[in-house]
Amino acid sequence: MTGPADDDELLARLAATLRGAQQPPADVAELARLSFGLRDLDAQLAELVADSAADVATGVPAGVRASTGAPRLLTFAADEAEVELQVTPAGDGWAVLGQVVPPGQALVRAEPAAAGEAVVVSDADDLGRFALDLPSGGSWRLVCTRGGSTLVATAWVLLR
Amino acid sequence: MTSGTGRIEPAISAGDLVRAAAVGETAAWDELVRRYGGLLWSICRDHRLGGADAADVFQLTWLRLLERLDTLQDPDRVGGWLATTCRRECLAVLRRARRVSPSSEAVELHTEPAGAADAGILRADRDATIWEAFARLGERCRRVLTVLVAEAEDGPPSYQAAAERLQMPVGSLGPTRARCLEQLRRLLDAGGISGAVADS
Repeated sequence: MTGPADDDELLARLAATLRGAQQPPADVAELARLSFGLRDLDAQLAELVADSAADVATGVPAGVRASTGAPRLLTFAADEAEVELQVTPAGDGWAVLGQVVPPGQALVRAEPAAAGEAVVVSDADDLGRFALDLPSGGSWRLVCTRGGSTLVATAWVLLR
Repeated sequence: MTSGTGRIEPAISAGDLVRAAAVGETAAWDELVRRYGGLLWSICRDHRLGGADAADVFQLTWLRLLERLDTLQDPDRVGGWLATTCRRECLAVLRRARRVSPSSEAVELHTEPAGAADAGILRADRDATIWEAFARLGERCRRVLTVLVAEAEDGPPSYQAAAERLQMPVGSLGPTRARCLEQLRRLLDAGGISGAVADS
């Protein structure tokens, strides 16, 4: 049972949602479509469990906040492994120091979400420590392999 | 009444699209991007993110869905999930931007959500459910309702002006409006109920 008043109400609700709505630019939408190719079915996903840039809501007074250029500290955790990162701006990109836990040698691959940007690779040492120079910002994830099989892949993280 | 927008029928529910994408269907993923792309982009712009930030958050939101395709709790409500995720990532970018600009930090920390809801800016309350139902309408109804909504923004709705823009007789606009809203309502009623969208 619907009448003209219901129609007006529905149209108003639609208007609130459509108001000022914009479609994404074609290249932005295209990148979202292409992202489907970045799906990784093999790796165990390590979730972001700590991010020094996200603790603003903890009530720490502004004056105590880290100053500009301080490293951003990120911890990703999966059931069987963790990845800890210290990320610092470096030129147009980012310098990354990290460690894979449990410690041990591993191949660490930084994958960019941006089309056309190259993968950056590093070897983790006996303690699982590694360093990476990422040439640009945007979304990246790290995929760690050990003994020929994928150990863990971090959630995507936006570096800006 | 198919609108021929690709290999995926508009009537396919969001949950089915998620499940199809989860088993590797590229066309289903493309349809999700088509259906919700405008919603997410608009949310980015509502938060007043610049072009590069908006593009990054937009893509990140899709990457988050990619991580969750298999484990999403309620695939039929993927639109709401995307909208919430996008809002959260927008706020994270705004927070980080404030942290690295010390001059504005002290002031803005006290007005935390203000970046999202700037005073004086009429911010749309984007409703993922109605957005999805709208995205599933045929092209003609989408166009008619878009024009009616736009006309209403400029003052009292003028059927005459709307009919001119749509190049249709003014007498048929009322019935068309009612029919399109009825379809929208049916899609809304069917939304969120898995497999209930068999409206042929």
